Amino acid sequence: MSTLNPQQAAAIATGVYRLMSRSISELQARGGELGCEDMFAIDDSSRFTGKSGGLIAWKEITGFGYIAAGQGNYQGEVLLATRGTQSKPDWLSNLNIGLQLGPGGYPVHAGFNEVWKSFAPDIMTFLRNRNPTLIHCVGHSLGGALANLGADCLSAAQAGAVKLYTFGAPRTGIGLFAESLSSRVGVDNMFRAYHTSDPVPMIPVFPFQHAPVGKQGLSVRNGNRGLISIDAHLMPSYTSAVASLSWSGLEAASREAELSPGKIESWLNSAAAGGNPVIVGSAFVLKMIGKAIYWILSKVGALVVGTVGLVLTATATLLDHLAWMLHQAAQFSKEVAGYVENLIVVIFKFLGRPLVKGMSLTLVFISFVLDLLFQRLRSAALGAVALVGR
Amino acid sequence: MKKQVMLQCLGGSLIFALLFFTVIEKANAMGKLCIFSAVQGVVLSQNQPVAGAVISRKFIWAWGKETGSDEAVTDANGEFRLPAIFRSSLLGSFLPHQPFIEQTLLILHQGKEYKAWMFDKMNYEENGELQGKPISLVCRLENEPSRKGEIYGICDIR
Repeated sequence: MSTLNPQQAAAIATGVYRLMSRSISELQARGGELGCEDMFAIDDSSRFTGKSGGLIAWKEITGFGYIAAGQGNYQGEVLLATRGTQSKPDWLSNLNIGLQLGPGGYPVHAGFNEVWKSFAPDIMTFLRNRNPTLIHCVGHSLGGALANLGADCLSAAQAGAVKLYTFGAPRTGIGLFAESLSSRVGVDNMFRAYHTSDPVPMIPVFPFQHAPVGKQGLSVRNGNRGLISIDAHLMPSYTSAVASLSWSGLEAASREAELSPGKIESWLNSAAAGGNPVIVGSAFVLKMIGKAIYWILSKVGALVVGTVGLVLTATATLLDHLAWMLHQAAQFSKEVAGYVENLIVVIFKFLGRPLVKGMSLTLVFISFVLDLLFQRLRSAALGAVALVGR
Repeated sequence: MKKQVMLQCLGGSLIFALLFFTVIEKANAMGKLCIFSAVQGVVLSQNQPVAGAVISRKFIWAWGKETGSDEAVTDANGEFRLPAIFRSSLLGSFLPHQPFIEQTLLILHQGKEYKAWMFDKMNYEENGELQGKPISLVCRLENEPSRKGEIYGICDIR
């Protein structure tokens, strides 16, 4: 059984957008391509329409994707490609954040499910009497959510083995949905690429959860991005980010961010000294700050954690605990004090604030710095929520 | 109870609207979206400039549900220019979606129509068609339409 490589999946996830308002023959007359040519046999009957829009009004029926049978190396396989948000009615579907039982019987995002249900019969009609060995489900953004639902439906119906490829997909269903889908399809057959600054994969918030469960998504970085970037969501941005990497290459690059303690220490020291550039508001830097905090605290381990309860009262906040632990860590040894000082320097750089020279690592000062960081994150989180309408 | 729910929804909507317009990480200035970048070019036939050819430009913008068109005429040197087309859309700037604009340039000359430029623009950047490079074309009427990357037509990019 074959696996689409990232470039093929990205080309397919891009090409499907071209069918919103055109037939396949109209697209071909313009010299356009779907990205699956020579792999899957497409004609006008491959395209299906779906309905998006508000609960009561402002609905529209447009091309939502295509389903096609494999040829050559893909003989016996099927491709299901679904497009993402292109219009305001599509966004109304996105905003329908209720819960419905999805194809596999678990709660999913209502808006996504309504769109799926509007074209699911066409999918099942195509598959009737076909018996494919493998069904590839591909999509970006809303199309990624629809691909999740397609994978859910087809794996539950045992229509064939399923592989799922998504770019910048939002969370489609609650934890039970994600676990069930992961179990039926298999985490090794699920490829979820997301840009660290793309707001769409960040929503809807809990209890919605990404699949696959038990396997990290493939984080990609493309240029210097802030915490949230709309441009990071665009499909061409994902195409550029995957470049010529394989899925294992993307996984390795993604895991590169999950650095070893030695690399975290090296990054922290270098970033504080100005060796590594610290981009103000960078999602990567924020992630590294978190890792550095964890690493520093783990260096002093039980000594710090064990004494927390003796000192702080029940009314202390999480930030109070964190500040106290870092303060204690700074007392632990001159070496660790140096790491805490470097951490403070990097946080100031991340926040775009002037550096404080000759700082004294008092509890008050560390609390102040962490509070600054928290306020910045809180405002970015509000921005993410406002940006995607929840 | 229903009144409470409605008030909550209204309150939530107002807060959402306030946050929506004030708490944003990044947006195109004034919601300005480039639908079709400026185009300049020259039309040739057997290496000779073609004067008086009509360059017909059309776009179909998915998010704005808008169709637009304009045209230019080649001068004595076979050259033409079309200005950039922008639209303003706050929602289009802030709500994540995949930009999609169907772009078409046709050359009309002596009763014949030539497919000069057929392209789907999937960003709102000015000169985003060619990754920041201004669009400058050489269009030879004797050419057959062909694909140059994602662009289809008889014109070459200079």
